[in-house]
Amino acid sequence: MINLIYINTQEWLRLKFLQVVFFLAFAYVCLSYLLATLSFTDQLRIKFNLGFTGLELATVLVAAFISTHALDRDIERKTFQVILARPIARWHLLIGYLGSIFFLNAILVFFMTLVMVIFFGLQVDLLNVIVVSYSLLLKSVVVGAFGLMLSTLARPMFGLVMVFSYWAMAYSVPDIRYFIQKIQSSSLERASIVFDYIFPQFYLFNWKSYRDVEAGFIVNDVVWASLHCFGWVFLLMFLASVFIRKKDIV
Amino acid sequence: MSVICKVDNLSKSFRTDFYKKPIHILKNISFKIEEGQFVGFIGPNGAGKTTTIKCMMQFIFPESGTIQYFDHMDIQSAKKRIGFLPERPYFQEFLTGIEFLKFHWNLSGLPRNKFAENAETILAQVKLTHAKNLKLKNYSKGMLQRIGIAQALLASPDFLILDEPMSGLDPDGRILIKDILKKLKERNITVLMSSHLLEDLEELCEELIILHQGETLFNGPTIDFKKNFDSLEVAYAAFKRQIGYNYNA
Repeated sequence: MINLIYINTQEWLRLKFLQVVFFLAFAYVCLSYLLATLSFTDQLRIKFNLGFTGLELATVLVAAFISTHALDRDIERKTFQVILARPIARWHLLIGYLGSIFFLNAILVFFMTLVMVIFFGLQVDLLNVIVVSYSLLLKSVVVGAFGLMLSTLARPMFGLVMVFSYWAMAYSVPDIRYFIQKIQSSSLERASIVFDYIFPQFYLFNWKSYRDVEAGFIVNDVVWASLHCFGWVFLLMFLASVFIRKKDIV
Repeated sequence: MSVICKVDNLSKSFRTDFYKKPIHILKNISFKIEEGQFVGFIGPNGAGKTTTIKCMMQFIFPESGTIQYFDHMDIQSAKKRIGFLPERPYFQEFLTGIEFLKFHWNLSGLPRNKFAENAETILAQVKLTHAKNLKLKNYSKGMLQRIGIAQALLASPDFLILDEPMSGLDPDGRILIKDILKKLKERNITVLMSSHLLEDLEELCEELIILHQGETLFNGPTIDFKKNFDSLEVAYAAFKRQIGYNYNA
């Protein structure tokens, strides 16, 4: 599995699309720096809020694109067949993809956090910035696991659209619930409870703001966020491995 | 001679769209391959050769029928003793020849300390020792095909499955691959090779399996198939006419 993760990471790093995403992510951080100079009072707030948003968009884009395209690409190019001819289980290949998503995003998160810290100065607690970056990395892995599960069932473009919808829904459940309460429909209210079970609760650790960086974090919250994400990754990868077990590799 | 692979009544159909009727690609295909045989797999495009091979490697799952390896060994264990090369695969072009082999060696779970010695022997067999440190993106089509054969041979397989190994190669490339395959034959390795190049199959194979529209039309010695004809090509054309195929239509 380590071999697969290593080879996949190397392969995706060479992809032009990914290099463009990496470049745009850094450009976004630089832009947030320039935008912040327009303000006298809220410079740090603008820098961090925009910087973290850029980081989340980039990591989700990387996870969504790789997870939905990796399997289809390898089947098309017959790389999947050459690897599967070895005495390894199919789910090992999925772990290979997920591992490469994790490492690519870890590289992206590391360098962007470094750029933010260097550009924006060390006027905030570095540990808090790291916690926010770590939470964004975890979320991207959950999104990647969902994309991989979908890639065993659906075509890449459909998967890509679904992954972005899934990511948006993971933040939007409280908003949906609020509107449902306004409508006062009991059946819709029950549906909103179901949403909490079928989507991860990213809104509970939406820490990508300067306010949270300033306020700091409770260890229990960080542990809960980690376990929540690990749980979702495990569940989604389990489903993906069940779906791929009997999938025809045509 | 022990049976290396036995395929019994294999059937498979595919739907091109969920609302369309399934197309039957394989219709009760049966054949067996014995130890040391070099078997040619012949048939027109769409006959079901690649689908049969995919079923044999468990990339796709047949609707009915069985595939047995090495006296009832399960496929996952049998994969340790099978080498496989699909038709024109993509190899990770940023790797060098030796790195590519090492990747597949590690995937096979073979002891790391024995890699160097084995890789050198196999690279010499496929005549790529000089290019082992060259990145795969700089390899010619023939060299890529040979490194593909090298990865299939890496775990010293007892059974080799090659899907059109000579497709798209220039004459020099074909000669080189044919030389490698002849050496495998001398070493008594069991090979199943699908190909459209009847001349090459005639030279290499002592057994033939002929598929047509998803059915096995012939499974037996090459010599029996072409006994009244000068070449395999002439025999194959006569055979197809006999089953009603019109070359002039």
